[in-house]
Amino acid sequence: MESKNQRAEKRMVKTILFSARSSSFYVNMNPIAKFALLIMLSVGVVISMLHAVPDLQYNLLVLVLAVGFLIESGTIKYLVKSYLSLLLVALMVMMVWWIIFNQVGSNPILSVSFLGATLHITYLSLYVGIGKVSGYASMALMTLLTIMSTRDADIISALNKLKLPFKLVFFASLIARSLNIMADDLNSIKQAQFARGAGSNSDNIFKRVSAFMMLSIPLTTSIIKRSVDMGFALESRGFSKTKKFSNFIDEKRMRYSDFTIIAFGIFMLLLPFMAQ
Amino acid sequence: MGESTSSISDRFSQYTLRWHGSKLTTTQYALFAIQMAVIILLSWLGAIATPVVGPGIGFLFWAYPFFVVFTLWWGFWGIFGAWLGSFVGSGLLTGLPVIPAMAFSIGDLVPALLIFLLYRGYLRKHGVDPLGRDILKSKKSAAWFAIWVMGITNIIGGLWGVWVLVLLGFVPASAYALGAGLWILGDAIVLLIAPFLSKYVTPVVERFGLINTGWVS
Repeated sequence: MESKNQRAEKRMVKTILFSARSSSFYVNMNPIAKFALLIMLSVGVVISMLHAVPDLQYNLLVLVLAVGFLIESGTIKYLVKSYLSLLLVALMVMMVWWIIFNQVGSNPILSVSFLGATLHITYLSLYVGIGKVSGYASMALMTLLTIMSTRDADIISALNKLKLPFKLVFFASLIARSLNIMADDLNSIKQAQFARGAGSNSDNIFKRVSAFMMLSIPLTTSIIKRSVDMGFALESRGFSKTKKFSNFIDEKRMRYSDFTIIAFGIFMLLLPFMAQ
Repeated sequence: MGESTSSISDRFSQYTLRWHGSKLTTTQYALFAIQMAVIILLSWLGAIATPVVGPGIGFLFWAYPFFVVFTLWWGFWGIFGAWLGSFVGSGLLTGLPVIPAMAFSIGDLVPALLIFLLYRGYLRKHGVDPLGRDILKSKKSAAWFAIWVMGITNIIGGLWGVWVLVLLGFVPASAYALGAGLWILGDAIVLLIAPFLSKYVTPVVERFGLINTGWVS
């Protein structure tokens, strides 16, 4: 039988995309620290990628860090299910473009002639390609980690802490909460159309556009309907006279671990400059 | 005989470039938040559920026709939605880091802004419906849509987006023209949806009194 601790370990919380382990260090990190780390690491990787020969070690270090936190937060399974194939295709396309359009280095490993043009693949062009791909992958995983481990309440709490006006914070929360509702609406419309023999999964681009056209009109009318309903519901609760959140209790304070993470982010940001 | 240009312009005269900053109703407040959520959602789908033809370049960006029409209806909020959809939906939610996503999103903000300025400013005074309902009826309106929306502003967005990718080291500089070409072509194809959306849904939105007569409300 599972112990109490094991059950608590497995408990998940709903985040902006999918859900994450509630006891995870990364999930419980202050959102300000989390976003600061994301920005600093992104800048570091962009600096590394801007070099003629990208800093492969730096990119791999960020990649390992992102994968580690994805495992720790319990979000890796969603990434594998929903994004892995997309990410692999994007990375493969990136690698091919860099090999074809970045003819650098001498001593080709392989030369291919096509329509009168010769393509050389060298050690250097492969190294640059891998450097670019690893940089892009590390940034993509860090961003997905942040999105998949952050709750909409965390964002609202952070905006509240920044003392932004109530209407602005509430507006942001409405956008975040409407994402799931509208995704459900879109799905229902798609299923209703499939049930009536409309819709298309064809590879033909024009068929896909015409299928989307049929989807777009009910989707837009659903936006209008939801807004009118929500407007009435808000107004019936006295929204236009409200000046602040009445009982917002879900607040995360900055802890020592958050400051440590920010310090680590600053170190990682400075690293590419020190390596130059 | 058809309506004269001056009477058509009179009919469109309520849709202007005035600011109207203090007249937002609660329904409009909810509407603008929901439309932004939809643009974020469609931008995300446009990035993850369409063929990837280059690094950071998806082929069919489904959100484009929506934010064009939303901009014609809701001015500032449509333009802001175009930016937010690109920054969050096809940026952050697909794994694009904050800085590239921020730079990238300008490629949607500028076309939306230019479309609103032209339709509510110049075209309104020259007999073209500022809400785009006549694109399928009038040759003049269709020509403006093809030149300005599918052409110039789309080209600006494509050139900017791929330039950012080159600048950030995602796309090789020698592949700039190919990347921009694929981007512009894909967006031009999905933009074919906009005239239909405009023709069939604008009357519904208008009936609810939810179309902005100025920038903000």
